[in-house]
Amino acid sequence: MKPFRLLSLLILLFAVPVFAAGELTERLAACTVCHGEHGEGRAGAEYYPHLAGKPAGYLLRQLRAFRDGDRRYAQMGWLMRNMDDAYLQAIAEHFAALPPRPPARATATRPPDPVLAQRAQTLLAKGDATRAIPACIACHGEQLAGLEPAIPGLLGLPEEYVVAQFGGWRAGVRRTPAPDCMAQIARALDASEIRAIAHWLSAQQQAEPQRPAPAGTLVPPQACAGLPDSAAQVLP
Amino acid sequence: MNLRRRLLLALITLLPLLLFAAAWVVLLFLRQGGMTPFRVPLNQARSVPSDAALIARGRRLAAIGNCAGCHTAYGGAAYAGGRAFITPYGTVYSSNISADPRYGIGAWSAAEFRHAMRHGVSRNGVQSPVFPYANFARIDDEGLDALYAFLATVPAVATAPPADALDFPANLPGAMTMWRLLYYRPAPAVTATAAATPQQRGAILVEGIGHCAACHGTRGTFASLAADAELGGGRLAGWYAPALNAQTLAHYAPGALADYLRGTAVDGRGAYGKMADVIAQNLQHLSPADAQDIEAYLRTLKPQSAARESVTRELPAEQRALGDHLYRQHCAGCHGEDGSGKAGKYPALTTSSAITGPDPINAIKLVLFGAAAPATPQNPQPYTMPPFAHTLSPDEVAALVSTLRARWGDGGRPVDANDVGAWGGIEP
Ligand code: HEC
Ligand code: HEC
Ligand code: HEC
Ligand code: HEC
Ligand code: HEC
Repeated sequence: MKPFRLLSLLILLFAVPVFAAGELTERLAACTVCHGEHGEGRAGAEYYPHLAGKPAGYLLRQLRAFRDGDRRYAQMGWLMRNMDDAYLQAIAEHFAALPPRPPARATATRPPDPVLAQRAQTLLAKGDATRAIPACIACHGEQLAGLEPAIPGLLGLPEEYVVAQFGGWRAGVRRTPAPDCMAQIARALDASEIRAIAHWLSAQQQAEPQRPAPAGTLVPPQACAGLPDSAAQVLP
Repeated sequence: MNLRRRLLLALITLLPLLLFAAAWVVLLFLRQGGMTPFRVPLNQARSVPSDAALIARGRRLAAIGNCAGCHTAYGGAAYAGGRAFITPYGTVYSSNISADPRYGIGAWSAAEFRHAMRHGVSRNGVQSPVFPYANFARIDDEGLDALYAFLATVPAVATAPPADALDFPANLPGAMTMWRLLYYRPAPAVTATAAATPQQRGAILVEGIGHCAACHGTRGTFASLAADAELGGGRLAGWYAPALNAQTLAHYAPGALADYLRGTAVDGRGAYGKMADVIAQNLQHLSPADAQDIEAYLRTLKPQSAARESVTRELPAEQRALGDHLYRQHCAGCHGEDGSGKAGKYPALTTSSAITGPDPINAIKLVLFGAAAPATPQNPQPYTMPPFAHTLSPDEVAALVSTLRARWGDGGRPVDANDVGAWGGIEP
């Protein structure tokens, strides 16, 4: 008898969180039509970003931004408008905990132009010191997989989506708490560079799904969105 | 000679007309409240009560009256105004009512505040009827003083909202005064009443601070609204607010209506559209007793003689077949084959005012953009309805909505793709 009881207890123990996640999936049916049943994004959609496995802090910030008008997309704002922080927090944690989607499909539709691809890779890996543009990997991580708790991974995002995000930062309709480093970077890049980066990112196949790097494994080179940076690091 | 005679004759025939017109204007003037509204008490000293209980009452009233909701721009500072209201006569921006002495109401005396809330006239002139002062006039003196005391604690924001952008003729000087003459009829002021019955207490909340008629009442020409407007249902920017009476609310079990108003999803039915905002911003702060009083009052209201479009055109068979098919494919999984919903999760459509009510706009909007009931302590993690704007064509939406309204309501006029295009849109 005993082992059985233990077993059922164990099953219960594991079943509860699984059930809770399943329940939230049901409550969030509205999200799945655009972001995929498990937040994996939608096959063939050139615009809807995936959510699964992105850092929870990042997702929460986005959900609040849509609700409060710091990021604009009418249908997102519509569904968020009467959600409170507690629900948004639960939603963010729900999607962050889902397994990162299966190896990112390359969403790019046309072959890369070698010159532009080269330009994109240089910006991503080295930035451009003459224009005070930091390397993207300095914050988004060597593998561009992101950094807990609030910097998202970039590989496999749809091209048009990335271009639109840079447009949003430049126009001031996507905002992050100051100093808004992404807005500064977006304004420093020119349109062809943004297009090149977006195309390159959308064309990357990932062999293995990647989790964002643990918090603190990387120290951003400059103050950004209220996150810890190298200047703010105080040695004990 | 001839000319002079003719002029005289004209004057004699016109005189009664002129007199009549003058008398009419005087009558209108009296009926909108006479001189009183225009005598703004300006030079009184400002002294703000600091009584904590009074401030707490003011905070509660402000929450029920949605002062912050209307006086905060999307993404802007609380109470700093600047939220845009699209009206039939142009765009009106709400005022800054924070405690800033220059841009807000931080220099007003209690008497001036009371006056503005009762008459809609302040040092800044005659206010537009978007400001539901016709209802707020029904708040007793102590309630207004409580609001005044609370608003003095709101952080000052030194910004001016954008100037109103009114269309002709509302942009002419004196247009708001003209509007008052033609349409504004103040309701009798309430003197502080320890209202006896729940129904009476509910009536005061509904007609006063709750300003339910601002949406649930029918507006006349130029958005005119009498304070005693009945809750016969009305169109407001992009939504239909259904009639509220014993008959239209019969599908709420006793007590369930009070729960709904405080943010419970009753059998899966939460609010959507503008009502979701109202519950999220105001009504979830109702005390259980206040909510029960409102329920008691609403259930005493009698349905008005329905002036419905009686021309029920038959829905063509192929439309109906398409609608049935789309319902099974996209909706039945949640709302059930027979439209009875799934208790606790998804509302029944057979009793939904979006389907059975006289106006199809809510159903169209719901299908296009989906819905999420407000998150409240009563319903912390609401279920959500997906949008179908990118899956269904306007023709399909029209067939679906017309079919459901014919199946569970009395149908009315079927909608077509043009209606879907004209009514679809969401505002931040
Ligand atoms: C109609 C389609 C649609 C629906 C439904 C929808 N979203 Fe979105 N969502 C989008 C689009 C498009 C974007 C990107 C918007 C932009 O341009 O910034 C987005 C962005 C997001 C982001 C930011 C992603 C990132 O990487 O920055 C989050 C988080 C999100 N949605 C969560 C949700 C949740 C939670 C729901 C359900 C309650 C939901 N969405 C429903 C279309 C949708
Ligand atoms: C100083 C740190 C920093 C650097 C350098 C940086 N980023 Fe970011 N990036 C961020 C942060 C933080 C966010 C999240 C912003 C937010 O919360 O809205 C972000 C967000 C993004 C997003 C949005 C992802 C999504 O899912 O919506 C894109 C795209 C992006 N960055 C691209 C880049 C590119 C390309 C570069 C290099 C040119 C770059 N970033 C350099 C910190 C940085
Ligand atoms: C339905 C939206 C709405 C609600 C609810 C609302 N207001 Fe207003 N209010 C307005 C608008 C719009 C104006 C400006 C009208 C104009 O510019 O002609 C205004 C004007 C005012 C004014 C006059 C300001 C001036 O400079 O003359 C005061 C005072 C005021 N509101 C207080 C309140 C208080 C207190 C509450 C809550 C009990 C409240 N309002 C609720 C929309 C609203
Ligand atoms: C994933 C489940 C789901 C699907 C699929 C769905 N709905 Fe809904 N629907 C809901 C939820 C949840 C609500 C309650 C929303 C609220 O309270 O704000 C709702 C509300 C409604 C309402 C308003 C009911 C009321 O409260 O009066 C109507 C009408 C409606 N849905 C019609 C449809 C139609 C038509 C379809 C098919 C095109 C559909 N729904 C598909 C979940 C769903
Ligand atoms: C800003 C406009 C607005 C105000 C103010 C407003 N409502 Fe509503 N109300 C609506 C709309 C639009 C709907 C339809 C959407 C829905 O049913 O969720 C609605 C729906 C309702 C329903 C559901 C009816 C049904 O058939 O199920 C009730 C009950 C209700 N309102 C009560 C009230 C009460 C009581 C007040 C005042 C305290 C009030 N409303 C104030 C706009 C408003």
